[in-house]
Amino acid sequence: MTFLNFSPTVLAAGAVALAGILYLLHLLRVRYSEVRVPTVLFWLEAVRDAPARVFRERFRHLWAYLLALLICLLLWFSAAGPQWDEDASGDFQLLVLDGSAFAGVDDDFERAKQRLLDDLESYPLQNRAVFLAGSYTVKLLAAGERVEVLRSRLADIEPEMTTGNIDDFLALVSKNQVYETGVTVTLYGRLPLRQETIASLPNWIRVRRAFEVAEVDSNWGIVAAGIGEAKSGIWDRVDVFLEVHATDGAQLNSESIEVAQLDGAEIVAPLESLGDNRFALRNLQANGSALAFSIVTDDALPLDDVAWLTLPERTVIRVEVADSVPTAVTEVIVSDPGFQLVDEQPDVTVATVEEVAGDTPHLVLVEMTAQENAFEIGYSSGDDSDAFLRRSVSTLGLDQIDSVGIATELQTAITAAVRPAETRTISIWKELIDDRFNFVDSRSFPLFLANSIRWLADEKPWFAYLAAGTPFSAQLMNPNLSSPIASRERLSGTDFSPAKAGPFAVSETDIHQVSLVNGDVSALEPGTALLPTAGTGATTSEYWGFVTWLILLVLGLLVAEWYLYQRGYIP
Amino acid sequence: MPQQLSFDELFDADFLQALQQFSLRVGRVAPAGRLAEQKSRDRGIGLEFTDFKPYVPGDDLRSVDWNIYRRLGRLFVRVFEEQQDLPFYVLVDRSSSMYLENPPRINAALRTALALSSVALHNSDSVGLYSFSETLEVHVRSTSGKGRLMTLARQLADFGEHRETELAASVEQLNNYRLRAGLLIVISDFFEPAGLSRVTEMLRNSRHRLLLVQLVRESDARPTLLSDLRGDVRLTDCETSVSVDLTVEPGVLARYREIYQEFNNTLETFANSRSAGLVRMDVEQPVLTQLGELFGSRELVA
Repeated sequence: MTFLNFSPTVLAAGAVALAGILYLLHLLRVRYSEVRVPTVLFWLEAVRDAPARVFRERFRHLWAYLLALLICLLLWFSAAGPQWDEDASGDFQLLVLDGSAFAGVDDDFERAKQRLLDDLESYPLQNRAVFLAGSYTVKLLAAGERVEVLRSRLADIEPEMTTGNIDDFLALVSKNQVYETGVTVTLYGRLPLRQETIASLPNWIRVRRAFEVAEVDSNWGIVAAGIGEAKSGIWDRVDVFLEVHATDGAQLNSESIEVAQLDGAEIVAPLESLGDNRFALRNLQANGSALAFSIVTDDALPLDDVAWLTLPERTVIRVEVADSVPTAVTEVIVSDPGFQLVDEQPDVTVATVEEVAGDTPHLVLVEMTAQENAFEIGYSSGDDSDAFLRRSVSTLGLDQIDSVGIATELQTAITAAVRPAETRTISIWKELIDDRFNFVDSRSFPLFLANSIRWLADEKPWFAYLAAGTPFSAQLMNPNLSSPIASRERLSGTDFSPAKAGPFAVSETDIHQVSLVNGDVSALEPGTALLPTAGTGATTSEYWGFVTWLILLVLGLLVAEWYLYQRGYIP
Repeated sequence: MPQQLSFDELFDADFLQALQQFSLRVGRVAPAGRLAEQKSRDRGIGLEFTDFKPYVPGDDLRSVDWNIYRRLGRLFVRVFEEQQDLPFYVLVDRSSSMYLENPPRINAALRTALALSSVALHNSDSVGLYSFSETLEVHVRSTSGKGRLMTLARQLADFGEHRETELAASVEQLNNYRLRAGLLIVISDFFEPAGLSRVTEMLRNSRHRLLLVQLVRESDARPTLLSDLRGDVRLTDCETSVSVDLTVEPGVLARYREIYQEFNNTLETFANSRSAGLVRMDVEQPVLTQLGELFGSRELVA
């Protein structure tokens, strides 16, 4: 047997308190009712053998006490809300309101809120807490707080454009057993839960869904929006791709999707249909502007009908190449349309060590005898040097170099090192550019050179797409060694994910647009089969049925007490 | 608040008419009374022949039995019993306890007093009307004649509530009056604060024959009939204001019934020992009905 309103501890403590209070009441002096009689002669003598109660007297009315105690305990027992639902038991109740995009279907969120408020009335204050699973899983109502508090807090809450996630929350609950009893997690909404999460939960955690969610007949949703290199090959242009999902398998035409640039500029490129609800925008100028897409057809879930993208910003890097630099280097720079050879005000300088001057970031060629390592990278960020070195090997394309072959020819090891410096520098052995080795002719040379110059110029990173709930690192197209996002990830040791769709500020000047673009959200598959649904009307009626019998029993006992009182058997 | 009977209610013609059938006699009245209908120890003028006695000078020659003289040659005179009146002393309790409940005991007391007075006056006896509470009060020292009944009724109707019962002291005071021996009718609940033994002691000293009319009600013996008497109560004596706190429970009730029974037994024992009449009058029943049962063969011999 379990209790809806009180924990067993509170029930037992209350019963003991009632017994104590009634015991004291039986010991206390009563308030006498005044009765005038013709004479008290006979009564005086009669009470001489049985004096009236005083403040503290011997306990005389055991049966009256037991009867009153039974009546009070039955009422207390009824108030505790007894029930035989073993699943609900005396668990601590964690009530999780789905605040993700899944809750944006029709009026699901309002219904879930109301159901949550209704259910809260049946749980003891100290035995439940409420969380909101939105961008983050946050506590809305702590144990002990009254439901009125929650009403005001829920008033301004709307579903967010986020995929939601309670898997991590449940994992946290299972690892930190802070509750004395078991825990029942009740989910209000269609937010899905991973099967492996449920399987990994300890047996003292039960997860259920508050109510069955209705299947959605029709919903459109943008499930993918990304940027790719322009098919035309123009270096400062990009192509944008879009994919739409329809729950009923219908095909959407390009007229049903509106495309706009957030700064108000006109987009000249038409939206091209690629079939299977895929679309493309070709040759968009990579000028860093933000695009917004929206499906104009009404459907069940409006939150997944919009998506945003931030285009990369590609500018020409001014490079000054010293005369002493081998022509192979100059040729590579000239052939890259992203670079422009200049004689003054360069962004990056390429020179031999003797010619380097000023604080311009530079790629410098040094003699083997003057530098211990083949590649030495001077960086100015506060990163850990070892980690920076590990990333630079892949970022600059060093891992593409045939280091073994070069080392054989030079008869010395090809090594790389990093060192702090006020200005970004990359120093390489001048001998590596020599025609004797195949480095200059290899595919890795222009890659190394282009990546090195772009890093030296501190070119802004750009993302192929940014989706809520997906780590940045998986979306970054040119991970800059010192980009703010990369720095954050390095500092925390974890992948950062944008929590919800909308503008995301990497820094004050570096703002990216994040989209929802999630197939699970648009498909609206709640996965209800994985979770049992909490009992509803049946449990309530059983509860009231039982309580009704208890109250009838109490009434019967009261009648018996009245009869005994009338008969003078109890005072 | 219970109301005492008014004169009109008390002097009910039907009630008085119904009383005509009753008579009350005593064995022998005290000597030196006036001629009436009660037997007396006095020998003289009368209808009831009692005995013969030898003639002595001075005897009434009309009483000489000439037949005996003819047979025996000696003079004897017939002796007759002289019928005299019986003095009735009606003593009515008008303490607070007589006025407390509903109907108040005083109503039955007044009706009983009037009824017995009516019977007495109808028998040519004399009636003295007294009341008592803290002190004895004389309302009518002695009166006779059927026409005096209205006077008595008026006196009874003018009774008012007094406070404490001082029956023993009142009887003692009455004893001191040295009244001609008669029938003392005490109409009371006998709830004497000084105790019943004190009352019986005083009554025992009385030179009158006694008729005790005890006014009772069912709740005296069964206090649970009183709706107020439930649970924890503070009982206050309406006369002395003495209070007693008690919890009404079977033990206390049983003890009360024992004590009340002892009280009644004491009164009965006294009445038997004193050859006094004891009548229990239920104040909640019609007085006339109970008087009818009391007089039985229409004549009550005290």
